Amino acid sequence: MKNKKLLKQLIVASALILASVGYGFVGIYATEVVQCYSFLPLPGGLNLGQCQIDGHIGQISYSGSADKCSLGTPGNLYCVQRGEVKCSYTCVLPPRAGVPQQSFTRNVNVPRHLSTDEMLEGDTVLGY
Amino acid sequence: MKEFRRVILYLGALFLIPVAVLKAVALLKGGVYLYARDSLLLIPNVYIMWGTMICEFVLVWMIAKYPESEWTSFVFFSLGAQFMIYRTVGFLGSFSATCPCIGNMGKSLGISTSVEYFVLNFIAAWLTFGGALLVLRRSVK
Repeated sequence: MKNKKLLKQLIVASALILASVGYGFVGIYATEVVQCYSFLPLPGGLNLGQCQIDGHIGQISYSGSADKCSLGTPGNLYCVQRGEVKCSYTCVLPPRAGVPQQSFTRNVNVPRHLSTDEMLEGDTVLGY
Repeated sequence: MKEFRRVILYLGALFLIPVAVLKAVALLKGGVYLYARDSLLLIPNVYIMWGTMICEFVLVWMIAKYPESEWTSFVFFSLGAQFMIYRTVGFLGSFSATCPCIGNMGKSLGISTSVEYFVLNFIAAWLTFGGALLVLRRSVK
């Protein structure tokens, strides 16, 4: 009788540990694979989808898919990978007088949890 | 059952104490991130940190003082469920840059983010499932 009770407790304890470890692994997965949505404010307080290069307002080019975060892929805005906010997005400036349409890829690499504070600092125009 | 109950509660307290202490250290150290708005709860991280830290210390005190109380089981379960809901919704909704649950201390201590998330998820699940077990067993009796 005592053994049966002990066995029952052992099974419950094992199930508890297994369930907790299982949910723990969800945490690891969460840090590595995050969908790329623009849940953070856009740089410069512009409207959704807008960006600014040298005073010119352009449109952010979205990848248009719910792909998982792929570091450095243009169009993926504000991705979080391995807990770091490492993002890149493409800013498309419409044609202006004498200047054809331009696309700039900007990288924002901010420490985790600082994303909303430092979004404007340290971002660099990589080229087009 | 009594011993089993204590094992669940005391292990829970053992997990909660370092997490609460790390939060306290992070709050004392300060940092810009504390005033960043949590993208899920839409309030500054500092309030979430204070709130959860106080809840954790109160729960640890309840476990130490009233391990047999139904209220202790209920608070144990509730706190865990809150953590689990927050973390699950954050994950499913891609709000991964949510509250720095141990206040960026994981980085200061050289713990990788993956390990930190594993540990925090484990604790949340332990509190929820363990608490549910205690609450249900008591109510069945």
